[in-house]
Order: sequence, then C-alpha cells, then structure tokens
Amino acid sequence: MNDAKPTCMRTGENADPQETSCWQLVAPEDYRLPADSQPAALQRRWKALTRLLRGRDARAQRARDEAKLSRLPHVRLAHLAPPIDWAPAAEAFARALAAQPTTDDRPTVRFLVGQPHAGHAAILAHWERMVGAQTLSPPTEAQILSADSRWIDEYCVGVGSPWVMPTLERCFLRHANGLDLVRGFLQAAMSGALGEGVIGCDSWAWAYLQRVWPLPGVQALTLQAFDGPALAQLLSRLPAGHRQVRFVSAKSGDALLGDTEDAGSAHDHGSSPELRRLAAHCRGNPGIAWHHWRRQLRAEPGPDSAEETDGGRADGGSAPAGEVVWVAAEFVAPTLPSETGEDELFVLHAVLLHDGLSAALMTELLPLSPARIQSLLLRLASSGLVEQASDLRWRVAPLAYPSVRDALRSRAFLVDGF
Amino acid sequence: MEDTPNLARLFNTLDRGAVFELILIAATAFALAIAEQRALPWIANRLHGRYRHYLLAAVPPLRLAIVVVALTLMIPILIEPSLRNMATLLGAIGLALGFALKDYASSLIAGVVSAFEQPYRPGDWIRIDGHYGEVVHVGLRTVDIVTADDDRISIPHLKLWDSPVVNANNGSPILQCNAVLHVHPEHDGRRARAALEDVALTSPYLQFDAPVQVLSEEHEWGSLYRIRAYPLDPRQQFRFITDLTVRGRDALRRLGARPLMPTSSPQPPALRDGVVQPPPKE
Repeated sequence: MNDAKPTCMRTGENADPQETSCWQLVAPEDYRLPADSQPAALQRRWKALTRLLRGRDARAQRARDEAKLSRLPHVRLAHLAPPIDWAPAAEAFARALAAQPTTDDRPTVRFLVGQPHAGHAAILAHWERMVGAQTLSPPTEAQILSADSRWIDEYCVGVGSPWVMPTLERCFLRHANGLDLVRGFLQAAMSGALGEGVIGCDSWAWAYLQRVWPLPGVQALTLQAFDGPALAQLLSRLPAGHRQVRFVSAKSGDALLGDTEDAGSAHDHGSSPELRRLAAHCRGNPGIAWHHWRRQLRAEPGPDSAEETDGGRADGGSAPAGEVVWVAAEFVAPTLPSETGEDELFVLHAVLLHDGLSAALMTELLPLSPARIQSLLLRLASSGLVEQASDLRWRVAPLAYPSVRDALRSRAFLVDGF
Repeated sequence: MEDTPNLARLFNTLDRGAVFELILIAATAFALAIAEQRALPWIANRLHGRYRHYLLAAVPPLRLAIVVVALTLMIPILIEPSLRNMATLLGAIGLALGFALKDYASSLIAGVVSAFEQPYRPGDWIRIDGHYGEVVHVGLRTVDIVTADDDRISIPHLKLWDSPVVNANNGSPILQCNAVLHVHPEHDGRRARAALEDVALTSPYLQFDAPVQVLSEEHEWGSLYRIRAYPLDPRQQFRFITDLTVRGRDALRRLGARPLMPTSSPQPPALRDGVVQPPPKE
C-alpha cells in the first residue's frame, strides 16, 4: 500500500479514510442508484415524452444569461477538470479485497466489474503496480475465433500469483466461435489452476457472460454509485496552483463545490440540486459525470476569451485568483430519436458488449454488410453517439451513454445491471 | 291494421332538437372512434415491447365502449325505453338481421365477443385458415392482418365460431421462433447441440429473458435440430430465424456434419405450427 493520499478525501480531518473516501466498493447487487429530486425526475420524463411524440430531440430552453456564456478552451478544461485519478480507487479496491473472506481450499479469484468509462482497467493497472501482480494479456481476435487453448495453457504453467486480467471483455466475441476460449479461461481461473488473481470486466460484458457462462456466488466488486456529495468530492480536486476557483451554477448562482482552496468544504455543498441531478443522470457513473462536468463549464465572455480560445493562456491555463467558473444547468448530450432503427441499435449494443469494436470486426458479429456498417457508423458518429478511439475501435461517446442505455433497455436489449 | 299505429307509437316524436342531439351524439362517437383508432396505434408504434402491445390491445375495447355509450344515449331519444318497447324493437331488428344479414350480424356479434375474449389483439401474430400475419386492425366485422409478404388480409370475425385461431404471442412481446436444420446422422450430437446453442446466444436478435432450447429428433432420413428461442420483438421473427438458420448451418458444417437438403418444402419450417415435415422420400 503506498502513502499517497486519496485526492478526493476530505482533508483537514483525522478521519478514517475508509469512511471519508468517495470511492466505495460494493458487490454488484448492492449498487444503489443515486436518487434524483422529484421535480428533476418529472422534468426528465417530460422531456422523454416530448421527444417520443415529436420524434426528435426537444431542445431545452436555455437561460438567457447562460446562452451568453462561452465554453472553455481545452487548455483551461485540462486544468479546471483534469482526468480522474484512479489511484485512490485502486487503494479502496485493495482495502475491499482485504476485507473479503478467503477460502483455504483453493486460490481465490475476484472480479472487479466496472461501467463503461468508469475506469475498471485503470483501477486494476494501479492495483497491479501496488501489489506487484502479473498482468495477463487478452488473446488476439484470431485466437478467440479459433478457440486457441494454448493461450490458457501458457498461463496455467507460467503465471505468477497474484495475477490480474484487467479486460475480460477482450477475451470473447459475440460470435458462434467466440465463446469457447473465455469459458475455458474462466473454468481454469475458477478451478484454481491459475492461482490467486483478479479479473476486471466491463459491466455490459459481465451481464452477457453471466448469461452464456453463469458464475454464481463469485466474489465480485464494483464502485458504488457516486451521489451528489461524492461527486462534489471528486470534482473538487484541482492541481496545485489553482486556488480560489468558484464553480457557480449559471441557473441559480449558488456555489456548487465551494472554494476549491478548501476541498473538504465540498462535502457541505454535495447536496446541491445540480450535482444530485448530474449524479442521477449518469446513474452514479463517475467517468460519465466527469465528461458531463467538463462539458458544462462556462466562462464569462471577456477580452481574454478569444485569446484563450485561439492560443491558450500563456501560463498554461492557470485561473486568475478568485475566478468564477460557471456551470451550465442543461446537459448537452446527444440523444437517440425515437425512430432509431434496429440496425443502429445492433451496432450500439455490439459496441457496448465488447467495450469497443473495430468496423472490420463488426462485420463478423452482425448480420449487416460491411458497407451498411460503415454507413451506420458514420451516421452515428455525426450524431455524436459513437466515436473512434486511437486503436480504431468505435465506442459509445461518454455523453451519449445514458441515452443509448435507455434506448437499448426500452427495446428489450440485454443491458448491464447498473 | 292496428299494428302500424302501435309500431309508430314505439318511437318518440322527433323534433328538431332531438334530431340535432342524435346527430351530435353520432358525430361525436364517430369522431372519438376514429381518433382513438388513429391516435393509439400512432403512439403505440413509437413505443416498444409490452407498452406497444398493451396500447394496441386497448383499441378494440375502447371503440366498443364508445359505441355502447353512444347507443345508450341515443336509444332513449328514439324510443321510450320500457321493457315492452325494447323487446319489440330488438325483436324486429333481430328478425331482419336473421333473415337478410345473417353472416354480417354473426361477424358483428363475433366482433363483440372477440373484444371480451381477446383471441387476438392488434400486435398479435395469428394464423386463421392458413393465413399468418400480424394483427393490424380489429374492426367491428373483420380482423385485418398483414402477412410476411406484406399482404393485408381481412378475415371476418365469424371464423371465431368454427375455425381455430393460433396466436403466436398472445398479447405479449414474447414470440417463440423455431429454426430447423437437417443434417446427416453421422456426427457428434452433443457438440452439435452446444454449437447451436451458442449460435442462438450470439444472435443480436436474441431476447435474453426467455429460454434458449436446442432439440434433436432422429428420423429415418437423418437428424433434425430445432433451435427454439425468442427475438427481441415479434416483428423480427423472420430475420431472427434467417440469422439462426444461416449461422447454424455454418456451425454444423464446421463440426463436420453434412447438411441434408430437402428436395422440396411447401412452406418454410418456422411457419408450420411447430410441426416439422420430413423431406419427401425419393
């Protein structure tokens, strides 16, 4: 265990880190969705109804002053809302593992199940460095489709303990030939042939694998949902040198996180309706919430704005002392029109089940022609629903994830348990 | 000669106000019936799953309720609603219908029965007299279905009296599909079943909340496998069966099982009410 302090812990207190950290790990069945306020829930349902009846997205009316605010350039965003540091989550994971009972008869294999963009692979990467575990590489697509058992045999004889497989979703394909290898791997792991280890799995792949090779009674953990106070703690983090930035709601004028100089005070503001609404919209997923938060940050238009937008700030994006950063009230997120076709949903579902797929691989998994898949991907990308990563895999865009999940659930597709 | 003035006395004297009231009630009922017949399917077709089916199924009972309410309001305007008057009027109407419009009246009555018993509802997939399709409209006299070939067929409700009605999903969005595969008997049956189950589990059309079964039968001409599974939406059934059949054949071929090709098939296997016909002997 290293000495680094979890960055989203309350500071200035001598409290037990386990009690104050916003990172809590629980069994998947204990995942509790953050509660939304009644008016906000009604507003969301009304929007869904109008979208259903109009057949297109009903644009929310913006407050006049909010419309006048300008978006922040990437340089500022990188400093005001830096990427989530998953190290504290890895420490919480290590603590949760230590608290779990172990059996003496055979080595224990535990699972970490994570929602899309919720960083389960990153958490396990930190954990692997903390405990010096050996990381297992996922098989290639050719190995999966040919059910090449040498990939498992290699680990049966030579793997060190503990080991970690951070991406179980990369070990199968939803193809008639794509399940045997992952079944063999899980069988070897659960029988103890590989020794003690941890398997990370995306929540959609987890839901699917539970149907094709049920794993009853396994020890699985997941990040507990982030509610308003937990999100306030998470988003209050700022790198050194950024002091006295106030995140203020553009709708109400209230401070959302408090003065960032005192990150601990964020806890007191955790019950702000905006953050509760954000937590409910994201279903407690911190990664999705972070993407939304970045998208909501605004600045007063001023003489500095154009300069910032064009070339960035000379000091690398440092905020001036006492600066106010506005937070837009409305979520600007792509939504699926109610008339979205079956083929588009097939693509989105396949992408989620595998936590990203290349276009070439989609032709193997879907009953669609390559030309049709390319066309669908371009259409979905232009709507902001999917995006292509540097590894050429298409993924559901973080901002679109809640609406894509809702659409798939309403059409009876298999969805994750969160 | 005495009956004529008696029958005439049956009806109230209709002044201008009464006629206006009758027209107003009829027009309102007609407008309401048309509106609900268009609005509910319009909304239902924007929904999916069970909500779509429940909304579609509500159309015929609601229309019947509108008709009943309208008649209840109109009859007291036309006649004095005493027992004697009602018996006389209904007897006269019954006699006329019995002789002149027997089948039409039978269909109307069967339509009322169908609204209560609900052997079919809009959104159901039914087979009557060899016609298979999705119910798109349940009228007062007929039920309209659209077949897989996009033919619209109107079937009188009176078929209810003497013909079996096969309802594949019975008001729910769950509809079982059967993909049938014929193979040469020399193959590993256990591996074939496992492979076919994986074929179903990897179909993008699969409804995971319903079970997947792979059944096998041995015949003198070879082995038969049937994949039983459920699509996400009943409207996907033909595409789902196609997907299972195409990939199932590939999976069996990879196992070394030789496919048997029936020389002729009068109907696709999935459309035979679950009764699989063996290929004809040569």
